[in-house]
Amino acid sequence: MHKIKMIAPKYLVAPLAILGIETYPANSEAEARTALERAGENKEPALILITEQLAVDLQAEISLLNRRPELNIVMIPDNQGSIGLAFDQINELVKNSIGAEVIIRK
Amino acid sequence: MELLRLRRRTVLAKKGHKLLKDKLDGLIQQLLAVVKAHRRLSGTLEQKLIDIFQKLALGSAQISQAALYSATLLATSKVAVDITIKNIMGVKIPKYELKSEGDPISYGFAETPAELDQALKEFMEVLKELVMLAEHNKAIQVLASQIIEIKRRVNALEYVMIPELENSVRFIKMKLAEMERSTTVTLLKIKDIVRAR
Repeated sequence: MHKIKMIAPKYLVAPLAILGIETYPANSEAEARTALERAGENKEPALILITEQLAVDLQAEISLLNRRPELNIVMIPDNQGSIGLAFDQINELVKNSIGAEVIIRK
Repeated sequence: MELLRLRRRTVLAKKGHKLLKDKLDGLIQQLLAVVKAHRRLSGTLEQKLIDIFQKLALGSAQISQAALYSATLLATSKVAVDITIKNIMGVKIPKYELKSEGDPISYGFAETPAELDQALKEFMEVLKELVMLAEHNKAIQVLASQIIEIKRRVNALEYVMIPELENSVRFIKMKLAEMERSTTVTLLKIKDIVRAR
């Protein structure tokens, strides 16, 4: 059984501790960087959710941590909406592997 | 001997190249299927998460730190993720399953705003889909890195190893044919000399 951890602004993440999610409040990019290091420092497998607004300048760190098989860092939108980072990350992975951009028509 | 060994190696390399190419095509198909499922899920999940976080933000603003802290202490809910490994064409991909126990709303309702309770309930419902999204995410990462590795091996076989082996085979055949011709000419010369005597 592995933990679910979340990095988000304090006003969003504090109530989620009620559900049993391990919370790492962060209100700036620097705090988010520290929180990400703390969340990923043990070798224990975990699912880490981070809001896109905080993850803007942490793409390199997130890609590096995602290479570890026991960690999975997922970017999610927050109350201010999505900025498309998660979508771009997947697009980039697919472009690098297949060599073409994938457009899926509904 | 060397020619026989090289011929065997060429046949083996061509067989390996065909197998790797088939594996590559299979993995690309798998990747596209997972990407499609990921896009579909993230499309529906995005708006739900935005709504939930807006309610959480509203609820957070209406509750005091002390009340939130005491609600956290009273909470009995626990969530965790169970990870098993599934094998797709020799690639190990983690499969996530959400395990939750306890009631998410196990604290008193008196001090907590309705938006917060509603948001927490909705977040629990959406957590299962979020875990599924995380599974698709990891699958895409693992498949993409495997595809890049296999592509490199296929290209190495197709453009480096097989041409080198074929060139070596051609060179040896050429040398052997030359040796045969020169032996034939030498024998004819010796015959002429012996006849002349």
